[in-house]
Amino acid sequence: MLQKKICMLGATAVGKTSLVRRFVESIYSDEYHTSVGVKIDRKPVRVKEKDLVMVLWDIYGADEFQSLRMDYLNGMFGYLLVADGTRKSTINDALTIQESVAKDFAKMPFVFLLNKADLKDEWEAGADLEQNLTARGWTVMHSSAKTGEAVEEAFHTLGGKMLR
Amino acid sequence: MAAKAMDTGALIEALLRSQGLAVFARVGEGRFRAIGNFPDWLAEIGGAQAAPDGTLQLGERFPFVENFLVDAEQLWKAESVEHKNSGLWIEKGADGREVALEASALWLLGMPILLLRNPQETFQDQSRWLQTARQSRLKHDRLGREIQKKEILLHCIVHDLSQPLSAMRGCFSCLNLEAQPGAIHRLIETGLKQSRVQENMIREILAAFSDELGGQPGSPQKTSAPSDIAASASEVVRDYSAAFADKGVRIELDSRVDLSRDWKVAGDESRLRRIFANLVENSLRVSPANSTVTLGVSDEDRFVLAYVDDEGPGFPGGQAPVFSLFGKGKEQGGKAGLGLYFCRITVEGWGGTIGCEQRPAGGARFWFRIPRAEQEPKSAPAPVKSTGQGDANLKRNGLSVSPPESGGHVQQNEARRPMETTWRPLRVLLAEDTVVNQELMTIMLEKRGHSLVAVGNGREVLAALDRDHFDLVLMDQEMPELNGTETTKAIREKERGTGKHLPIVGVTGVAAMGGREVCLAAGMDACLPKPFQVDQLYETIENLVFDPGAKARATGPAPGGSAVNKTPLNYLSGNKKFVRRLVGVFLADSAKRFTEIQRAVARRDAQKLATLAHALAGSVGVFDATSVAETARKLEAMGRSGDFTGTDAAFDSFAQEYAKLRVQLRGMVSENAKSVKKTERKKPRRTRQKKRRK
Amino acid sequence: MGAKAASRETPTKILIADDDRTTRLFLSEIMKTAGYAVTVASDGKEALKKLKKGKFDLVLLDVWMPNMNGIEVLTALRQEAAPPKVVIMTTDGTPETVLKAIREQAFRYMKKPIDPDALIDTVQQAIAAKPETLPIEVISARPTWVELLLPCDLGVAERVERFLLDLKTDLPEETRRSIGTAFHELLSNAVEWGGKLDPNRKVRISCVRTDRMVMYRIADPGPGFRFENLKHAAVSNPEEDPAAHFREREEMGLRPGGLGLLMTRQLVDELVYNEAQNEVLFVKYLDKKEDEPA
Repeated sequence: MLQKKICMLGATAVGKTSLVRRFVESIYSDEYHTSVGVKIDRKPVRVKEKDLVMVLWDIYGADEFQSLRMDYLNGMFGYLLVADGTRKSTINDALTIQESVAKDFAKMPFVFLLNKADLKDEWEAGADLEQNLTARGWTVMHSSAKTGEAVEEAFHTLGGKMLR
Repeated sequence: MAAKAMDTGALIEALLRSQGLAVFARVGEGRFRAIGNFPDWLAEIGGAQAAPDGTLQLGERFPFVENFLVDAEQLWKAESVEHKNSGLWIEKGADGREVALEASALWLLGMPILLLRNPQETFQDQSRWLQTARQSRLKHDRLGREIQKKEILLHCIVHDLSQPLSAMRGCFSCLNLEAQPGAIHRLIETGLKQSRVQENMIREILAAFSDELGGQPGSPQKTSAPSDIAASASEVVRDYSAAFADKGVRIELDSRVDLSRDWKVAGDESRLRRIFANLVENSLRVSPANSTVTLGVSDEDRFVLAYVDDEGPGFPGGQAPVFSLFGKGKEQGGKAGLGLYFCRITVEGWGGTIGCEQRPAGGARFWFRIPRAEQEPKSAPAPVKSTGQGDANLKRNGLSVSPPESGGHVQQNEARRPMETTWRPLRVLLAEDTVVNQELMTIMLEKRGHSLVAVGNGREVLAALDRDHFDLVLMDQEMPELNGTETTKAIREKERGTGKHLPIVGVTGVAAMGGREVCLAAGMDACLPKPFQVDQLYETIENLVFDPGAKARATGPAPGGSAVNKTPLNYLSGNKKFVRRLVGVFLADSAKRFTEIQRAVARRDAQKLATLAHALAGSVGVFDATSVAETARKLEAMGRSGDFTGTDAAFDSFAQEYAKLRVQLRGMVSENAKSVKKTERKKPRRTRQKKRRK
Repeated sequence: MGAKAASRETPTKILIADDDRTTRLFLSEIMKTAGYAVTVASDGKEALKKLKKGKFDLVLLDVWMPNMNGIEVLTALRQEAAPPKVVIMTTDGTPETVLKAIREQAFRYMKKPIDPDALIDTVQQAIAAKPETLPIEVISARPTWVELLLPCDLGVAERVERFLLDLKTDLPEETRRSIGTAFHELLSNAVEWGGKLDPNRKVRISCVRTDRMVMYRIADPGPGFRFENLKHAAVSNPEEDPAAHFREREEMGLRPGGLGLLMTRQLVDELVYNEAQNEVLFVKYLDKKEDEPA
């Protein structure tokens, strides 16, 4: 059975755990439980006519209280870079993370998610930001773990990239 | 009782069990054999299936461990005395509870050992602390954003509130320019008074509630005092060193900045600090550990360039932030966005510019440029080294080269070009983008007798100046495309070297920050804050072109405008017959008094002089002849004090003014409209002296 | 249109006394146009004679006249049974004149050159005012120390405010305005709340001027007030209802306003109350540097 490790990366409280919960168990809770430690889930998917098991590493968000251990990323085949669309600082954090990852893992496929798309009223990510990133070749999506918007597509798209 | 032999092995095993430790020895790549019994938690998480040969493939069982084994293998190969921890990972236990596990790799007694632990209490404690800490951080960030939003909102509200107020004021002022019968005039005065009341209320609101904005815009108490931008930068560096140290980032002032130089700029201290703080916070967010954020200022002639450099990601792909306003569902925004917007409106309010760019070595530079504080003209200019012809030329054009200490800036003196001595209608270029205000200013200026052309933005100003000649430009600061200060700079740029200097008057709003300094630094000659009195408008404009006595010397059309209602006489202007009679009475009586005053001066009769001069001063009140009244009062004062020094000269000026008044009054009642230009005689024509009958 | 005399059977009679012919002519024309019946006099003696003979509603008196000056006429008039209201006019802005005018119970004091609209306003107010001029007692009449005792009546209060404002013309406009507003608010409070608008009760005002400050002290005859009781002042409004005090005031029959205490604090430099809270003192300092650069 083809198994591939995928990491969830991003600042704290952007919705990494919620996205995994939504994708793996189709559940969502508004309550915020900060992640401590790493959670690993398995989800079988079918991508490009192939059966694949995604081993999802939900890694806690890096911040002033906890820093990211790069060795958690060893062996991954792709990652979801998540930012909170209603907090501009998390977008900057995501860019920083992507740079660090790119240093150690050349050509690692990833999908950039602007999460919490259901909170469009408080949206702080500008259209020109997306344009710039897309121009660079990034895959950018607006997702919402709450409504489920783009969650499946995000993982499937990443899967597709990983299998290329 | 037989002593139980110490079974060390069993004791150790029991100990391991009580601590929840699962011990494994590596017997092959990814294969382990358990030492001792399994702890309870292993069963809870589903146990571990052994291979036929009794070994456990822990990597397969726990993907997290598989990842960890990469590092573990290295450690065992090196037979290192250190041990390595994997960090926490979570497995699902009974009832879905989270079981926290941690693995350690050791080399003990020649054996590669893998330990698995369940630090559940530590995990629970950690979770609690991190939960609280992170939630507090999120709340804190959210509140910060709220506060900033509110501040900017307040500023915008005040700014918007002031607009209709200015328009209303203007309407009332214009109405006042027409001669109105008493009742309507009084209503207009009331309206004007109320608009002033509202203006004061707005100022008081700002003063009372916008401490955060610092240096309240439009406050009657404070104007933006110039401040030292380098000092502000240093202070911000100090303020933020702690926060930076926590993140492992350095913050410092650029070593090339010479703090002993004059870094005074046209902007107040608290807002300068606020701007730096915004930019610094921005840079902190993007700076990786061990990087440096540098603040600095550099001299750019009439401007100072301030910058905040970081070593963060910069703007990969040219994605630079836009300093625009936050709006619901709109494009840019966020805490950084609001902060940048505030920086922008503040800096632009001071007549500067702000921006950001990618640094060639990586990272970003956020910069802003603001004008230096207006140089105070030195009272006794230091002697200039003579350089011969060049200096003389400059002096002739009304320019002087300031002493070298101040950086050799060329300063412009007050008298830029000769002031005209006679009033005449001016050709004014009016730049105002709001239709209402354009109409009002047009009415006011035309009432005064000036002619004007109106345009809607800075670009059109420049175009109009290319096409036609104007005596003066009256420009609103806030205009689209090219604002007041930018247009002024462009005009001055074009004038450089030509010796020309077009008088420019700027009009600023109630909530404008910086105001006067901005206008003057950009090259304007004067500044008029809204809402203004009509008289202020006339004075400001005309003082730039005419010398003080010009108005009196108006030959052709005389200045109209506000003078109209001020004269008490105009109240009765409708009744021409009466006016003629009144003037006649005055001319007769005052002529007599004049002669008596003359005699009193000659005889140095103090008491008579005082009484007569006082009476005459009062008498001319009807005609609003302030210059006559003033000179008469001077004589009265001399009479009262008994000090006759300078009386003859005082009398001469009085006589002059009185003669002028007579001419004016005669012109008013004569059939011909044009004023008669007579050779001024010191003494008026002697009327036949009739003895006054009791 | 509003300049016409009120609907009375006989037009209001006004006497204008000024020694300058031009001024006499000018002022009478204004009054005549406004619908009043005008008589003129050219000096104090003539004025007094005419006043004793005829029944006048109002007198416009110039101060500096030969034979008998305006203040002397004013004093003499007070002996009369039902003296007309007097408006003193003068180019002389000295505090002494103003104070004398107050002492002799002039209705108002106007500076020359006279603004026709202001004059008509004043005349109308004077005529509309109560026939018995409530007396203002002058306890001290030095320019540096004015102390007055006045009945608790808003009309009288307004008269005093105007007089006192004229005393301070050498101060910058800003300062005068602030003082004027603060004084108005506090005096109105004293008259309304402390004196309950009872003209038999008196408010004591002191106005002291030194080189560096102007100080006002207002003592009302009331028992004092507690801030908690000030439902009628904006200062006590609950946060959600900033206009609550307006309703209170309406219910208490008080004039609209009540923003006094809140605003007054901002307008002056110092403000203190005594223990019983029926006396207030405020100070405005004068030695501030000029705000705007020349």
